[in-house]
Amino acid sequence: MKKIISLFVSIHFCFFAFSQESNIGVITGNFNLNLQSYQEDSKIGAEAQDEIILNNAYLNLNYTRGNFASGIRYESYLNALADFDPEFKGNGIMYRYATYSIDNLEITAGNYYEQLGSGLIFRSYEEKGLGIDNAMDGVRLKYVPIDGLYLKTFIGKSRTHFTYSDGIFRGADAELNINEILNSELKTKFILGGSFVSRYQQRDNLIFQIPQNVSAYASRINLMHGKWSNFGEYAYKINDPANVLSQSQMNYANGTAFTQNITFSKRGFGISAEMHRTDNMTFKSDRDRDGKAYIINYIPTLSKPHTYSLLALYPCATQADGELGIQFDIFYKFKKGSRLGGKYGTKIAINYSQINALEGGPSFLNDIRTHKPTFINFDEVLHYQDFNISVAKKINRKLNTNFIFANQTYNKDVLEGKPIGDYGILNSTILVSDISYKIKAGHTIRLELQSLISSQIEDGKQPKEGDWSMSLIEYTISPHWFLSIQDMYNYGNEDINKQLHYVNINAGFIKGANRFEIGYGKKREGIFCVGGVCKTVPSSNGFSLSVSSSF
Amino acid sequence: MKKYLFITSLIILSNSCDIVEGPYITDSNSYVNPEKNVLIEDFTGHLCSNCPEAAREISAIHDVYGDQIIALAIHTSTSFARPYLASQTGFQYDFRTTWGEAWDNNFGASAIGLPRGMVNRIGGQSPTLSKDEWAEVVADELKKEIDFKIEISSDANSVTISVESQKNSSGAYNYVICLAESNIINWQKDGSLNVENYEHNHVLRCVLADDNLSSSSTFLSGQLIEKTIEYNLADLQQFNIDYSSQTAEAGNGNAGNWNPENISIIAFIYNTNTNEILQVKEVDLNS
Repeated sequence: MKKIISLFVSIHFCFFAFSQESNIGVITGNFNLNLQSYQEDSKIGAEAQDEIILNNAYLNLNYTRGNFASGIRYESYLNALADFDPEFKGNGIMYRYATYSIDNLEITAGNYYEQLGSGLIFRSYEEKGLGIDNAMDGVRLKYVPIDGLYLKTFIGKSRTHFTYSDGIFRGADAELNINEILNSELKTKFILGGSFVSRYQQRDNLIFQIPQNVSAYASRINLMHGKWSNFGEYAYKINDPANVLSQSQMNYANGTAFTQNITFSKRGFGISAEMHRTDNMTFKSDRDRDGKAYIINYIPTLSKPHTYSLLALYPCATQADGELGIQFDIFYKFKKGSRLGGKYGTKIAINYSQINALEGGPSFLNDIRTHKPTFINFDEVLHYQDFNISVAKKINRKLNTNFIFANQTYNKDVLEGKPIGDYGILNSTILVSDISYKIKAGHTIRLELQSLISSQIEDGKQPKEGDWSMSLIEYTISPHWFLSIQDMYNYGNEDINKQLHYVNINAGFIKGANRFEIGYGKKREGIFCVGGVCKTVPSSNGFSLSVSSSF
Repeated sequence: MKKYLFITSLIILSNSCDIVEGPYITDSNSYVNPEKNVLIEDFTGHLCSNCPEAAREISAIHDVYGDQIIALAIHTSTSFARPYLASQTGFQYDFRTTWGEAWDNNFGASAIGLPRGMVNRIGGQSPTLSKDEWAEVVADELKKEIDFKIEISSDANSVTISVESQKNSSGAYNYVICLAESNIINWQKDGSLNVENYEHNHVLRCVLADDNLSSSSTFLSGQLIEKTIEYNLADLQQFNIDYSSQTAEAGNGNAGNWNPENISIIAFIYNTNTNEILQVKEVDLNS
């Protein structure tokens, strides 16, 4: 391994030398550092870290010349930030690759990221915010034999922290663009796709049969006609039981998932309806391990990803093991000059999503129990519901506003994997107003006020967090400076000692390709999600420094 | 050519999967559910000369299945468990308890003759078995799935059990929390011998609770029920001393000298209609 790394490093230095002297090829790169100090704060439950300061950093270097590309990423976790999996520990070059393409064939050796369809059966990706990086290590071929037919196949192992998982993945995908193949000018466009992936992991079990090769298939169709677009994907995974000795945990049922999305959009108006269903569809790179580092597929989320703090306080985590959900979106822009549009127009967006359990729970099959939920039947157990309306309006050249009303229902026990009855189901009504005012050229002040009123639909045993308020003021002197002060206040906490302010101050400086940000504040223990994939964030109190740079 | 190679590799890939057909269990005789525990309640007495054989059977079963086997030695009945008179040699200790006597009356163990025992109280209204029948019932019981998972924690004054329902179910269940003491060196008849330094293990000391698990008869998968019981070891010991001296037939009040370091908590859940014990757990006191 060390030899390979040093070989890559020396190759890059050689190329770099060439690029300086002979101008053959280009080197690009970017760097990011996140450093945080941790002090004890017993009120919010924040723990001091033995190291006092924790740090995540990485540097990407990429070299490209014509149809050849190569690169490495150096990563440093000394030690990883508290909201990261502590298995990320140490330094190393954990990503290196070389790729070239010739005569419609692209060959990649080393690390690569890959996604089949929308990811229902396979998605290798990185999401730094979540601490996910399941990059593949192996080889991948992509081939375009004729226009409109796109083939790819790969083999490799998936990354887990600083090593690779036990399972070997073999995958393939074919995508057919009918219009391109027929060279047709038809208004209706068809794209068909089929994908396959298989995991091999040698396992023996004294008592139960264990399939050594577990495969999953998916087919997809994308239809576009004028302003209409339809995407549907159906996925199937064969029996993939755990490798344990307890019969109650040995589930031989197949996994299925489908997602269906219809959208209509034209200038100033858009509508979309979406539905998905997952059943027993957690696909892992190692059947013996738990945790998000070992998840190798991805179920796209079915709820609106919110960015405002109180709207994202109770986010929806997709349950690959079983859920059935729907989502509707409407977007409309009242034209400039109309009664509701005013001088600059008014944008309004309405979103509704509801996600329930599968009827009677996910599919189950073994010698003592069989259960197959009805295909489309919302169980009475609600996971998540969100109704929200946002209105964005520019009042004049200086004043910009955005208002949001939302009502969310959150099954904390199910979505956060807590014992049923611990926290119950809570309902929250949230109001957000976001107003920015341009004081003079380059100087903008932004004020954000949020309120969350909470009530319990089903009671739990643990103390309730209750109501929250949040206020933020941000001053930007573009293009170089920004400063923000934010206060989240849990004034409605059932526990009087936890009716606390979580104040954060951040300041940043941007110049050219470099960005610096320092901050100090308290974070609440909670859930942070990106695209329905979530992580638990522990409470913390301390300083932070972030540096990013690119060339 | 490249195109065909590519398509051939795709076909090869699509065959690489192992669909498994039932029965999924390959060796059902050897199957043991690692989460299932079994309680063997051994009705015994220090004057019962055949009883050490039953204790040795429990030890042998424990050797096979490990800590999934939890034992409770219930010293009971005047004939088998009364202390000797002070004028006689040995056998001065009174291991009997009010709860042990009540269970014996209820299940009819000593009336048949000791040793006699129950394996998870299987067998409806007459659940007591001779020691040679225990191993088979233990093997059957260990194949069963658990309806409830039990966790126990304790400090110097209280014991808390948290019971997690493993599936949606309905029924009437009681939970029991009791204390048992091991490594008690005292007299025991063993065949024709009177053994002075016999090691008495998992001797029932007291029952802290035997009550409804829930006021509702419906249990949801994942539902958590917590029960906390306050206790005072000195009071409990005094209770047994008083029971021995004042209530038990031929008692002498010699029921003290408890050693907290050797005491464990045993908690179990049983169906009040069938008596069957669904799950049992044991931890050391103050763990």
